[in-house]
Amino acid sequence: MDKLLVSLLLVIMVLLVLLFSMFFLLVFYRMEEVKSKKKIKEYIEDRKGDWYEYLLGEGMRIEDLKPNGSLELKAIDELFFRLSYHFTSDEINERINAFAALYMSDYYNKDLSSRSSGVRINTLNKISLYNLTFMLEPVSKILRKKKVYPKAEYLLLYEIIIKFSRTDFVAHFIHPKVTLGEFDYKKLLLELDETQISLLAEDFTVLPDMLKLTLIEIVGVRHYLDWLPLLHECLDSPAQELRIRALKSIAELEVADALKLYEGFSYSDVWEERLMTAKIFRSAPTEEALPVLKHLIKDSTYPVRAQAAKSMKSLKNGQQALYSVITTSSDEFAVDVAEEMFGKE
Amino acid sequence: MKTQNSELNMLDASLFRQLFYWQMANTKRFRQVFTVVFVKSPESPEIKEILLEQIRNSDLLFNFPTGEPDVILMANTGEEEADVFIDRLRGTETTRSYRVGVSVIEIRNGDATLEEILQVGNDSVNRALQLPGNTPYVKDRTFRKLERQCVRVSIIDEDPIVTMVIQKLVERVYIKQLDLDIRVFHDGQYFIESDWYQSSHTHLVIVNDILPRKNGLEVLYTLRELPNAQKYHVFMMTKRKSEAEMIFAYENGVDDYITKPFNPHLFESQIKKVLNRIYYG
Amino acid sequence: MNLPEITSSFFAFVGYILLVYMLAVIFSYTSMLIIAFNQLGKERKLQKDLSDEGAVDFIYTQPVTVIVPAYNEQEGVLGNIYSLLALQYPEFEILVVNDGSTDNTEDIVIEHFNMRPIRKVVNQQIETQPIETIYQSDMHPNLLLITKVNGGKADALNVGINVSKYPYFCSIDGDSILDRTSLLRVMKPIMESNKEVIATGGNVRIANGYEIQMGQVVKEGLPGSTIVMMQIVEYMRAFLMGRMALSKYNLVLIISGAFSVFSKKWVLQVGGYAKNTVGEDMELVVKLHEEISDRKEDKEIVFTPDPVCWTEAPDNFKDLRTQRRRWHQGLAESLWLHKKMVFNPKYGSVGMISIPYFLFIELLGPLIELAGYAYIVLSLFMGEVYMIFAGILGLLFILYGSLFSMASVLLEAWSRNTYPKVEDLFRLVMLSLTEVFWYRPLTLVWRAEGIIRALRGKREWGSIQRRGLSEDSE
Repeated sequence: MDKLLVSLLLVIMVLLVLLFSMFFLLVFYRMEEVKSKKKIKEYIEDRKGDWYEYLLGEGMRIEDLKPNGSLELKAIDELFFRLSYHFTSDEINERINAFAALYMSDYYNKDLSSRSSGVRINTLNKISLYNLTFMLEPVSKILRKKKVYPKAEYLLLYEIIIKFSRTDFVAHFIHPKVTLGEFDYKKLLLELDETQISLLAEDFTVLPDMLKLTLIEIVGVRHYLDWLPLLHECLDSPAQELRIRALKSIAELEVADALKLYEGFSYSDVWEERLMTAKIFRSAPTEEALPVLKHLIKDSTYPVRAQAAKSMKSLKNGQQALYSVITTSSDEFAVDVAEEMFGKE
Repeated sequence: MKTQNSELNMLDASLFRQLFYWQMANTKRFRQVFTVVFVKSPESPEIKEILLEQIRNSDLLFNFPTGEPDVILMANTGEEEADVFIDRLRGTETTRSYRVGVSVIEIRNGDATLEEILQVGNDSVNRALQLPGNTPYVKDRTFRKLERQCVRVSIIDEDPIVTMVIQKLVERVYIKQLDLDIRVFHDGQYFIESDWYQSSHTHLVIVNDILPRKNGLEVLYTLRELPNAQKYHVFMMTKRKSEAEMIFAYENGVDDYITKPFNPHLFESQIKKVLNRIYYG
Repeated sequence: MNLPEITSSFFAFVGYILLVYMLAVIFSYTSMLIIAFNQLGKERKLQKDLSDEGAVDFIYTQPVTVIVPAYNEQEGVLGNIYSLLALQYPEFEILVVNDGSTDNTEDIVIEHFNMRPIRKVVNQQIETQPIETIYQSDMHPNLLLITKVNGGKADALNVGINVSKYPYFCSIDGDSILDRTSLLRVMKPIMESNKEVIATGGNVRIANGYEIQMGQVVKEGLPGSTIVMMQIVEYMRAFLMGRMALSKYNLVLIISGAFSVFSKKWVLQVGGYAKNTVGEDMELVVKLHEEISDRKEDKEIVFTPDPVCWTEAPDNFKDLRTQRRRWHQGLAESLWLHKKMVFNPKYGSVGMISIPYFLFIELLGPLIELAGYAYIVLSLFMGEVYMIFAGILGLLFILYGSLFSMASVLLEAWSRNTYPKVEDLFRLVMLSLTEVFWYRPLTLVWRAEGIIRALRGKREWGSIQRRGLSEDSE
């Protein structure tokens, strides 16, 4: 027992010594950090006017800004971040690229091959944010490596490929190195422009399911009317989620033809489909929309009723129709949502 | 008929001051141009009857004491339109033997004072009389130049780099006759507490929607409640916002939305457009 | 055997049990500390603001309803609302639910934000006390005030859920303050997991000592009060040796009611917040875990260390006692309501690990530890043999109480920079070493009281005096 006591005492003493030395080490690093932070701040304060001249004005040559030492590189890096957060133009882009390619290529390449995944992710974020196109090659090289990276990194790598190279991405999309979810696809697809979307939509049938859903949604968000036939095809799909998304996108497109195709969905068993139908009919001609919406305003699900009321209100002469629901309908819920629409005046 | 009108158009010199300043207020506020004509005839001081016959119904003749030039005030009239009057006055040369000196002063500058104009009028009409001919005239252009106007610009954003860039962009915008008085704020509360925004100046407010302490919408609300709310032109900077929020802000006084990150050159020309409109109406 | 012998062997027996218990606890805490250390090491160098950028731009960012249950919060509510209005988030609404306050909460909010009554049909999905009026701000269309008949915090939250229009809601205490990026970052795990995460909790920090103006942190600092500093150490410890590790394995049972986000769909499925407990926030999480297992779905509840919510800690013993009693009572009640989950393999690792962990270490721990303290005192009268025993136990207490706290403070300082001044850090380190001698036994007693209250079924708000975090205008 005595021995146990003594050894425990010893353990605690050792731990204490260890913790305190850690404390002092920490304090030392902390002080270094404070110093360099101060220097970075000073650099930004001193030179921000010069940087304005270089990026947006005329008066500053690239050589005049040549960085001295790693702290200045860090400061410039921070300056890029803050500037690109607020401003963007081809001119700024070009000049940042020119500067970074000349003086900061080593800085970014070193961080890109850092052992800490945090640092690598930071760098990828920066490449994408400041549009450092000259880094495309090193980035593509990472994707060719056998080494496996965390998912967050792959996402960023793909994002950069999409941004900087117009066609290479399709292959990565069909066979991604990690499983991508809905959020991931959305995030990536949002980077695509219309021709890139078309490139992808050509292979619609072979795309992973999740990508199909996302693509359908993007068509709506971006108002790509050309792809309406594709949406109509999806309405016949056995996959419920795909149908809902297609209806949703059709609603976003605000089209009023092919109404017959949508009408049936107001009797669907799935409330989301009824909801989207209610939304689609807000942009239809009054005489065709009213019967459908009058049916949907009595729906058993609240969001459907509310949407039907909202859609009705946005119709031509919809106010009157809505008013007649309040005065004539025997359905308490319908009256309620209709009244709320008026309350929102 | 004519005499009846004439009597109405002839006013006592004591009224000149009041009517002049009333006209001046319109010049300043609505950029209206008017012209003052000085007429002097040393040989025959009583030319008022002739003048009354030659002026338009909308012109006003002021009856100054003998020896001083008579003054005609032509509202909403530029120097070119006053030529018509001079032509008609020349037409009377056959019916009179004495000389009549005329000085036409077009007024655009809203800062001109009555004393300055009377001084300039007296001097120029005497200058005219030294010219040959029976109806010598001069056009004095001292007051044709627009006055300098001061526009206040407030830049409200948290990041000093942003305010620096915007300030430099605004400073770069150069519009003749416009003085820009720029001030930078780093939070909404500080802006609202300052009395800087409460002035009769035209005011450009460039404000971020998210700010420490009072945010952009609250700044907007404060400005909207001011009696001279239409004097403020508000640019609101934002990261992506929902449609509903943007509509709300437009309906409540935001004039332009600027989505970050934005193109500084486009922004510069937007500012320029707004300033031009402020100045030239 | 005579009586003294029986007593002494019983005494020895109890001693061994305590010893084994302490070793088990120390073992579990050490492993959690190591997990946290690993996790933080990975994220230490990650600059979060770089990726915020992408998230803000992302139009698919889910809109969120922020619900602020407020009961007599006139001191703090303005600062709270100002901090919410400054949130960097594309689309959200703020619902302040005034739970029949008896002070000026309602008038202050109405006056300050120019609120007008509006008509709104409420989809009564959870049974609640009736709503009196709904107001909307003239300045900020996304700010609503709901006044209702008093019904307790859970009821107020349920009203908020009924009124809310977005698919996710964030509950936040009326006296706390959010960082500008907090909502964005607390939502990130939900989006990035492709909605596999149905609830997340943020990190709650103590703001006493910070200078805060109109909902914004102006200056960092450490408070002068020792009790508050001790709580700061305690929060760091709870976060590093508990939530971080549990979260990694989807074992989280407590995400603080002061700041957490839930998927509305799931909360509605389990009927909203329970009104029959003072620990409605924990109860909801347990209930969600139960629902996940019942439906055999693969959903997660996570704790996110980064997004910070600042709250005001009680700065006197009386209020601290009330708070701790309440927390512990809540813990006891939540576990009691879901007792069928204990060691029930049907509930997977939650039933097999986290519920037992909370039951034996978090809930009953205080009783055993108190027994430990008593044991040490008693052994002074029991002769030399027991003194050594007591010594060992005492050292284990020091290891467990003070050294772990100190390690937490250091780990915290290493991974993030909450208290940047060296002097502040030193004060925290020194104070953490004293924990085991005074603060720990005190809180143990209060927790034990909480258990007793839970057994007797007492339920009341237990009022805590508040000063308000923010210096507001006027």
